[in-house]
Amino acid sequence: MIQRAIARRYAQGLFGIGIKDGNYRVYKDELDGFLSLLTQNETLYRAVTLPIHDLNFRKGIVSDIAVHMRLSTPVLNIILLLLENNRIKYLSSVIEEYSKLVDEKDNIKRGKLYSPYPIDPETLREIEDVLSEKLKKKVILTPIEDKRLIAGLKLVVDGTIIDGTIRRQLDIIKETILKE
Amino acid sequence: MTHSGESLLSIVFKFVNFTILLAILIKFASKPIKNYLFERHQRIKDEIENRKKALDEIDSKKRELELKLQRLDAEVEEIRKKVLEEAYAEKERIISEARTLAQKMKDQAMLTKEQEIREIREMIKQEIAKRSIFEAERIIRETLRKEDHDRLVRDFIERLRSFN
Repeated sequence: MIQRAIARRYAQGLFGIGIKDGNYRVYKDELDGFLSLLTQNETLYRAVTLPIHDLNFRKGIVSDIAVHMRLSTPVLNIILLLLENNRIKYLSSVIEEYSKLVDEKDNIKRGKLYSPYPIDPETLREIEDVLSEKLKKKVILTPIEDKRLIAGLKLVVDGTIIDGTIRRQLDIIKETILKE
Repeated sequence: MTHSGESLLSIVFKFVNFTILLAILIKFASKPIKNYLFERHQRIKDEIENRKKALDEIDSKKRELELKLQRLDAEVEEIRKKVLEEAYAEKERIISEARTLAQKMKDQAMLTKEQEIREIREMIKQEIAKRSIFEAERIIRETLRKEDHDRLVRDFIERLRSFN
């Protein structure tokens, strides 16, 4: 909870700059790219995040990455600030909070679509369009394959679950048997 | 002269002597003797009185003890009755407590039995539900085709469209 509040403050700071210079979406992509690089390379992740290493050494590594990835100055500064304040482990939370601010600004609602089979892009787009129309917001769904569902789809958007799978039907039958 | 050879004068003389002695004795010893006799008489009289009093006291004590003895019998009878009553009450109390305890144990046993029956029923239901769902899932997976899933997807989209 405290981590989330701290992360929100960092995210709001960067988002304010992004709104002013109009690059808030670019900053999001850059943050995602930076986090992705760290999580894909454990040695690099440890070198940057472990306080056992000298701060200047870690800042040097981040600066080198920034040059290589062509990160914008505000994004680099926010990462260096996290490092200086020994809060680099909050980076993923900062990105989550930042993404929420960007989505809110762009009137975007994100959700997850579970299916036992791969969902073809057309169906995904159709569902997103239907939801966008209903929610009056652009809906972006992340497809997730889950064989346990047997057949049908399960949608999770903004805490709401719409479950049209066979698994759910079987669960209802099971509940009915147990209630009798 | 007398037949024993003692002269009459001698006898008179002895008689006079005796009389004089008697007079002297009466003169000087009668009072102490009288006192002694009176005291002795008084002592004996007192003794008799005392004995009589003691006898009266003994009689009184005896009567008292007889009365006490009579009362004691009554008391013994009363105590016996009381003890019997208490024993009967105690017996009733023990029986009542035993009955209550037995009822409690019976109720507890009944509750335990009912609880166990419920638990067994629940277990059976769980097992039935688990096996039924397992079997249903197996049959569905065996018979389900991709088209069925696609149909469910279409239904799902239609459901979304129908939401307000």
